[in-house]
Amino acid sequence: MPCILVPITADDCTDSAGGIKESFITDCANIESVTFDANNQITAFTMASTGLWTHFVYDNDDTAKYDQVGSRPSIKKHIYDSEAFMKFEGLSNAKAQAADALTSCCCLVGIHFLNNGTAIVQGIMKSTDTGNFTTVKKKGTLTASLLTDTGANSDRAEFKLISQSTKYSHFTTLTSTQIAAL
Amino acid sequence: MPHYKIRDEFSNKTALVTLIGNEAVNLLGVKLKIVIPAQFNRVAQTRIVRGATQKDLEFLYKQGNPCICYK
Repeated sequence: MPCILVPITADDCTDSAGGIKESFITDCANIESVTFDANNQITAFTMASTGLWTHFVYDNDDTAKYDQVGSRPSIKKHIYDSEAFMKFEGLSNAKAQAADALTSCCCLVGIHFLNNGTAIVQGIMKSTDTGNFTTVKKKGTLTASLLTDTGANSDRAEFKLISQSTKYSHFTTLTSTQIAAL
Repeated sequence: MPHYKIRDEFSNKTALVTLIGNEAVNLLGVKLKIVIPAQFNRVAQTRIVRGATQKDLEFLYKQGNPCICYK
């Protein structure tokens, strides 16, 4: 059966400011179900309780980003290596504690809000079997670096949320205000 | 008479919290009072989540929420 392709036409005036400005992260086990619309966007999360999304607002210096880099190890296999990078200047006990809590989790899901106003969900994908969600091929885990650097630079915490998926990360229609209320 | 209810696979959960607009609701129909402990950069919070009504479940079911069925 032939592939069905989807066209793209260059947008005339779309906001394409790069980078991400804030993220919410939770343990996969906190998510009970995910609702997708007909365009495969996430329109709702159902959680095991309230207040389970932890908010991260990183330095506003154009260093934070979320990249999904595709590769094709074989003709029938395409994967995305996904990485969110977040930097927090000023080393402190609070940031070290946050790093420790994140790195102790074996399965994380992140919602990254882009500078262009949209949001992308890292770490889960739609299950073709159930219509609910499933975790991605290599589950989201976080690597933290706590750097004093030299006197010429800033001391800082750097977090990388890394996952690998056979499908792109879903966009979500949910806003930052809504995730904070969930 | 058919009505909207939680699917069997989710019926053993202690809470199922989702949003209607900007408001959190518990699909199990029970009001929740959750204390979120203080952290370094966050004061402790107490959140009240109302129980979902049949009308809420109907709305969420029509949105495609996988936790809800109609029977």
